[in-house]
Amino acid sequence: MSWMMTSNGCMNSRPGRNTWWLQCFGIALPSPRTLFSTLNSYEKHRKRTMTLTIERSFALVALSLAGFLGIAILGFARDEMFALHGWMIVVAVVIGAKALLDRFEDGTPAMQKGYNDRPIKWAVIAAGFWALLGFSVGDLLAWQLAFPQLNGEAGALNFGRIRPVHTTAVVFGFGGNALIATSFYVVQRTSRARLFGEIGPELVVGFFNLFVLMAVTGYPAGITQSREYAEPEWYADLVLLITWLGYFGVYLGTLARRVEAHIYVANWYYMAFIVVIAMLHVVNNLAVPLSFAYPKSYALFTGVQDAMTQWWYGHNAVGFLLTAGFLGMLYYFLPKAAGRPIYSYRMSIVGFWGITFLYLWAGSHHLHYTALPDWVQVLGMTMSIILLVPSWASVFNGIFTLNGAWDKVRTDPAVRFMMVAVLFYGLATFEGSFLAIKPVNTLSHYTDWTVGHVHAGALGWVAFVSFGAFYKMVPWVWQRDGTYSQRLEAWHFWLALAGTFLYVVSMWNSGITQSLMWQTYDAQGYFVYSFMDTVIAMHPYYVIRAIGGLLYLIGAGIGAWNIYLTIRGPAKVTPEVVAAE
Amino acid sequence: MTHDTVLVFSKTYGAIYLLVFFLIATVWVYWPRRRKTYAEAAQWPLQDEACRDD
Repeated sequence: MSWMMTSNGCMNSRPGRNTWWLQCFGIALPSPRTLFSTLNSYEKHRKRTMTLTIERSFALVALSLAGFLGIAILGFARDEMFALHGWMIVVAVVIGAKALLDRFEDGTPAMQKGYNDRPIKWAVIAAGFWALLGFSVGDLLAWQLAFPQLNGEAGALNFGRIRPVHTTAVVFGFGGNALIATSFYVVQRTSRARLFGEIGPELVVGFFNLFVLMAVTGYPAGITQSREYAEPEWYADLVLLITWLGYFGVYLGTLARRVEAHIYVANWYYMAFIVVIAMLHVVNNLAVPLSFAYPKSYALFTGVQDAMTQWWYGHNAVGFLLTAGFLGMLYYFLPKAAGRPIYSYRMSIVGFWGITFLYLWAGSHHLHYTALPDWVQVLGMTMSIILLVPSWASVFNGIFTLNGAWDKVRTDPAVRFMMVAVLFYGLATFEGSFLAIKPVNTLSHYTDWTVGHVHAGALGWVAFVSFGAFYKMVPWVWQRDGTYSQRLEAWHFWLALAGTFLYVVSMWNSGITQSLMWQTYDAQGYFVYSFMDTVIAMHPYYVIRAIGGLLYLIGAGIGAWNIYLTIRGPAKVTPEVVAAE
Repeated sequence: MTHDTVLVFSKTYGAIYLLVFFLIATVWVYWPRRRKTYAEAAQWPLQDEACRDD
């Protein structure tokens, strides 16, 4: 006997051969297997309905809160850009509410089947847009440093105003969207389950990009709380907080629907990224807004506590957004692209716990030789050195994963991107531990060496692994046979690599030269060089850095064009399509 | 909690706590009984990825 569920959830039964004797008495019982299957499908139907009910409730609350915020700003704002941001929030809420109502206008619909790749596509497009914007502004900044007259009249395009545009666009716009896109892809495929919710994932992508948009349009107008990598003011922070809770809910809900008991290791890294960023964001942005009339707010922390909170945030943004999240990306896309499992799956888990526990203590190395208590500085230094162990465990794990597939490094530029990303990760983490040693820091701190270090990680590790993952994921998500052109991928790779080397090496030279000049004394103990002497000495390095950035930007432009042509290209020919023809 | 309390914890129990946690995590992960689970999980990205919760 098999039982079937009708569209309204009621169950019908058909008589089967194994219960014929019961039918003589007018009793129709299902077999245990059928009963289990029926209960299972009923349970799934109930869960799907419940999922959508939960999603609708949370989306309504979140949109209402955001809508209240936007209307309050519109009602009281006296600052033009602040009012414009109020409009942005209200428009986003209206679009979100319309999408929600469209989806639910006929009551609670059944949750769709198969993977939900729509939010992934939006996030990929957004990542591409912010990457091009962020790299362009970054290179403009590099030219401004080489030729200060490019700063103009200290207006909206002054270095100080647009520097955070660059960092926010690349870290949150490009990096954040790349992580959201790939995390939604990975959690579905490794859980063999559809994303939790129907409209929630798209709201997460949309409101996350609203946050980035408000941030980068606010800086040129002077809207900033002057905390590095946490510049957006309180209202943008609130939008991000609501969005991030939604992201956390979607991710956790999807994991809860997985078909295997074990959670694939990439998801651990992505979860650490989501949870820790939420914690950092809330604590570091604790502030008292002045009013609804102006965007200005004042931080709850002062003095050395303020500095420590900021660098606890700043360093862990590097640790959990730019490291843990991208390690999650690596641990899925590298094995997938290479066709080889992770060299040591267990090592990747031990590495996860090592990175998770050690990174949170390392932030104080940004405050060596300051008013911070000395023991906190030494603690930060010690943890930074120990951190090299789990970091390099990931490096070796990534490199050894390619054993047996090294030919793909030569033939597949996407794999080459990821292989070089691992090498840059090894370089940047070694350099980070080295620079955290207090005597070394006396040489490196406040010099361009730090800038070179950060960009070795950002350009060489974060962006390279993202490019490699995108070249693989875009054809899969849009169902194409492959990228439009592997030749263009290769051009992108070599331009990006040349640009990164020029950038990093010029900044190493610049930083060490700066430091040695600053610390050169004559026999009487006077400085030999004035500060202006060091600025002039930096000029050739700054020009080389700007050229490196330009090469990187051209490579990214070629990459974006290649991705665009891939998306525009013909769909993959599947056996089903052939059969239909 | 005073500054001195944090300092004492950091110099004593803090280090022990981190070491013990690391040892527990390592023993847990490398426990022979879990070898099969992790070996199978490592293969997931290479297997058929059809959605199975339909």
